[in-house]
Amino acid sequence: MISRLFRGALGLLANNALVVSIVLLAAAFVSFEDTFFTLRNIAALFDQSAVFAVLAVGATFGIISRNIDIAPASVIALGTVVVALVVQAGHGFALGLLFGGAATIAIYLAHGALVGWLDLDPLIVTLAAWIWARGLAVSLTNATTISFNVPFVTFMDAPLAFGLTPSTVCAALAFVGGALVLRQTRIGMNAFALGCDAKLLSQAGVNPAMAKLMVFATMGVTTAIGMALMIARTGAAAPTAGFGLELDAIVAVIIGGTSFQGGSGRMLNTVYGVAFIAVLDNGLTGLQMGDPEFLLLKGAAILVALLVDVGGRHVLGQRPRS
Amino acid sequence: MNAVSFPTLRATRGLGVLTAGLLMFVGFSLTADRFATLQNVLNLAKQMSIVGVLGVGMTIVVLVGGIDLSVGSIVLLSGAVAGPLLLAGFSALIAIPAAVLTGMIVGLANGWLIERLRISPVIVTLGTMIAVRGLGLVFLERYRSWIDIDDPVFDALGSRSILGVPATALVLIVIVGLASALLRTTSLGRRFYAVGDNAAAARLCGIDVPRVRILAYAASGTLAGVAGVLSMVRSAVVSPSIGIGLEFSAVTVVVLGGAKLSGGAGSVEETVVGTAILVMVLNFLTIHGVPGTWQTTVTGALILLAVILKRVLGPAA
Repeated sequence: MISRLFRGALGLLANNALVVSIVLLAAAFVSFEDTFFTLRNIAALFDQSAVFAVLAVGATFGIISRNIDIAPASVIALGTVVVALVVQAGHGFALGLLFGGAATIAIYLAHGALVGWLDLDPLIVTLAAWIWARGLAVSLTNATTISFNVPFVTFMDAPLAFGLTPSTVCAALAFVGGALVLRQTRIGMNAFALGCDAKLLSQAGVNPAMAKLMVFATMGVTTAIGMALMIARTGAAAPTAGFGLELDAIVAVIIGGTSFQGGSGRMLNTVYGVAFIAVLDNGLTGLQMGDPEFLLLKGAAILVALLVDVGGRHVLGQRPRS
Repeated sequence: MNAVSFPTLRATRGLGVLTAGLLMFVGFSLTADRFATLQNVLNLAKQMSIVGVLGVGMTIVVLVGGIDLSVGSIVLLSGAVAGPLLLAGFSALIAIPAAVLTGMIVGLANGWLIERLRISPVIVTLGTMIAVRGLGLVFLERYRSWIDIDDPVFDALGSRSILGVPATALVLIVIVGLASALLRTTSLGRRFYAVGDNAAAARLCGIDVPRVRILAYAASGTLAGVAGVLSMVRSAVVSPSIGIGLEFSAVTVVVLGGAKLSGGAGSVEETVVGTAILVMVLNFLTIHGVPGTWQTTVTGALILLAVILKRVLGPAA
């Protein structure tokens, strides 16, 4: 009886290891810093995480369908630079945002076509963009930051209610929209099928190349939203914008529990993963930590979270995922 | 996946990359004045050393179907271990093995996490990429994040040449020779190919697949430690920005060489040609006065062009 109870409790812990980790992590930060559990800090945490949260929505599609994308942060940098160039040419911010968003989505459609019809490895295609898009952003601006002075930036950063900013609301809507597309539409269903076995799709009469294009189009939309939120947060077009965000997004999806092998996953898992990374980043920053310790602890925390998760499954005799 | 991946036939496969490299060399020589001078060619060889050594390690990891994104951070960490040892008065004969050993330990840790816990290589090496860089920076911080390398052995490696070949290029040549012999003539080398080609079949043949893969990550980590030493030799300093982005350069040269990221196909010789292509293009652009920022854009475009050309012109995979 006791052993059954114990085993049941262990099972509950192992299956929700991440939620437990997030609570423990937050508790640790609360005990170290008085300001952690304040409305202002929680609201700031949401606002700071908006860009990478939106990218994690796209990354969920990419990982479920086995089309990993490591380029979003570089493409965001290029997108903000396009916005700045259009604004500098005197065409106004709205048109700039339109062009920047269109350029972002166009790059993703090109990636989708290369991966879909030429059957190139998505890791290589997006690795190339990771390099060239950031390089182009630096070249076009001569490595300078161009700031925007527009109402959009002040509006997106001003709290609506309870300290929640429009940026936070956008990120939340992206999760809801992403979950709906993943669960309720053909794009989502085909993404799962691609992750299981692309042959399934051909046998069902669906063109796998088209399904891949749709996955990349979805990631293009989330990246374009991320680009707008990046401008809202920094108020500038910076060629260095968002360096390393793609890694945060991918890690959030995996830590959330979506298998890297593809074919399975939930948007809710990604929400947990994003919460973990967001709490970790915010807490470590709050401790006034320097870059070196920050990186060391962050990397270690990610590995520990993975170990706890894998270890928990191991104890219960479940098959390790991925 | 197919018979082409066996060593004898691989010789013909690599010819496409070699031809492309040679055509580029001839083309660049005709269109840039100072390109084909002896001094510039030696300079190219020196520039190839660090990325080339990392590329050899990455080739082995890619062969078994993995990827190692932590090598750039290992370059920093091994420097942050060897640098303080030199400052403390230890000789280079202690510092260099310590740097290489550091790399090997990180590589073994990568392999263990990936194979024993079965976590995806992209995730594990992304995690160690972040954590190992942090650890290196923690070590460096005690020396105000800057260690000047002033040691006779390191100086000699940087300035000496043997029979006209710079010492750092010689290190690359020796490592390529050893790795090539390992892959082509030893049973372990065959096992690397077998595991990457078809892991299930390899296991049925009695190969300990996880062990072979762990060895591949250990090799990559060790070579990243060597690249760390070469980086100290070339820049004569250990500073926080060392090694940033090198992991992607290493993947780039492996891809330019024509290896498949899904494993089982590729060779260190092709990776060397891939390294030469990357270095030649960047050198050509520098001679023509193209700013460094545009060179990044060209590097990215080059990868894309290489994979598209390979798919369109090459035999069906």
